[in-house]
Amino acid sequence: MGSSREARLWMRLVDHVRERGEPLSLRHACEVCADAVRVAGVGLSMLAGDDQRDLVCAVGDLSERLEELQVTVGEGPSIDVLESAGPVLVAGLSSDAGRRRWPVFAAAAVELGVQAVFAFPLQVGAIRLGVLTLYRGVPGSLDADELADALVIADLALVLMLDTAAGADANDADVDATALRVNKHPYQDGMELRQIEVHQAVGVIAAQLDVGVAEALVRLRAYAFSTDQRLSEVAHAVLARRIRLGSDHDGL
Amino acid sequence: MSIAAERRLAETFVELANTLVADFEVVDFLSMLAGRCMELLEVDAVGVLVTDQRDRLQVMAASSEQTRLLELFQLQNQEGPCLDCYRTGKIAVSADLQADLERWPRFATEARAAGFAAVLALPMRLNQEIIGALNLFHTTPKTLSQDAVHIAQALADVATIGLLHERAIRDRNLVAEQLQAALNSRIMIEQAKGLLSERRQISVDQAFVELREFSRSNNRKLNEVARAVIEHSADVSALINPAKDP
Repeated sequence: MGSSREARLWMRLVDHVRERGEPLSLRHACEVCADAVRVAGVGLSMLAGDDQRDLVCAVGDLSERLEELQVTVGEGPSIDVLESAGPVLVAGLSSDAGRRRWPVFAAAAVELGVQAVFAFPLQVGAIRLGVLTLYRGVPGSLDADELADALVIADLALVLMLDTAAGADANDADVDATALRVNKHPYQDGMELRQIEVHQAVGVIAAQLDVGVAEALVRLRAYAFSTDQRLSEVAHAVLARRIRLGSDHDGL
Repeated sequence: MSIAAERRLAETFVELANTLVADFEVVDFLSMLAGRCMELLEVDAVGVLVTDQRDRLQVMAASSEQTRLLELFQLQNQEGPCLDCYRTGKIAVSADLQADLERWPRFATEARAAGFAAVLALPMRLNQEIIGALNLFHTTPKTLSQDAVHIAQALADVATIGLLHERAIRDRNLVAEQLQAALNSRIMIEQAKGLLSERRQISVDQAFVELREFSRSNNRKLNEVARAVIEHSADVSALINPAKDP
């Protein structure tokens, strides 16, 4: 368990935050990502209804400009990610493939000094909260390890974003509670995000409480935290109808 | 192989080829393939597992959506023929799980408890890489003939093509894009299964059957129907509340 990729990346995040004596936030996920994966910059945006994106944090000089560029020209990796439900990985913006894919964006991005872009949706099935966009100043693909790290960091960012959306403000005292919640079963949360029983339980809870699937996942995690159980344990109990989450926030 | 079996095999390949050129949905396609594998190879359960590119194998499709079976595939992330096959790129086989308890202690125990006696995992290959495994189960101790193993490998290769489309095979980035998108489709279908099972008070595997039948009879893609169910779209109300229709 302790040597899993999720655990390693989570520990990097925890160490990173502790070194700075700051409460855990999405920005730290960006910073750790830039560190772990060899990229020049990272941008994390949150979806705000109707495919609008709000850039929440950025590392590197060009993340903001890349985001603005995509909004201006109406094409680019962060936009395509929303249509495809999967990552968008372009190792060479100067290549034929890059220019064909985004005739305007590719040329403009290259002008800015960007040669490769990798965009990852913060997504688990129908739950989709944002986009993590990485870029490089030189062409080249992410290798298998970097890809795996980026995918896991996107999952960690999703979890952080869920907690943020669930009511913890950046300046709020609750953010420490958020940090604790994620700290308690850190890598387990990340790993268990992709278990069959968790997906099905999210659907059951969404129907039972008449809420969206993102909210259902928030409730599931909140219940697991407050009863000190693993996500998949609670998911199994929900599926077996041994428990039924209540309508108040902690699901008790 | 008998003439009848050969004909059935040929029919299967033709049907699969037709499906590939038409507009198709990957989970639906692989579920159908899993079903065909079961018939053609005369096995009792089939699963198609693929790497999520973050160190785990995930179920993309199975011959049956019964929870116990899906969990038998999922637990092979810790040990089992699929894990061995994925790591080595070679076929992993047990003709009698009772004799292989030491090899895969937890998996063999769970598989036998679920009624299975023999297992085979074949690699899903893409150029030099292994992207997943085709997992076959028998309820009685059995060894597949060499012919059957060759056919099984061919079907595993069809599964790979169905998952990734030919044009994606050479570009690692396109492979990753397609694989992750397919995995998200599958997850969305699992979420919809849960939701529908609660709304309709049916089992999750029955919910899958309902989703698939609705998608076919309404000529819509399975993952789109799943999304519509999750988003409570009006156009799937007949699926969520069939009793309401007069």
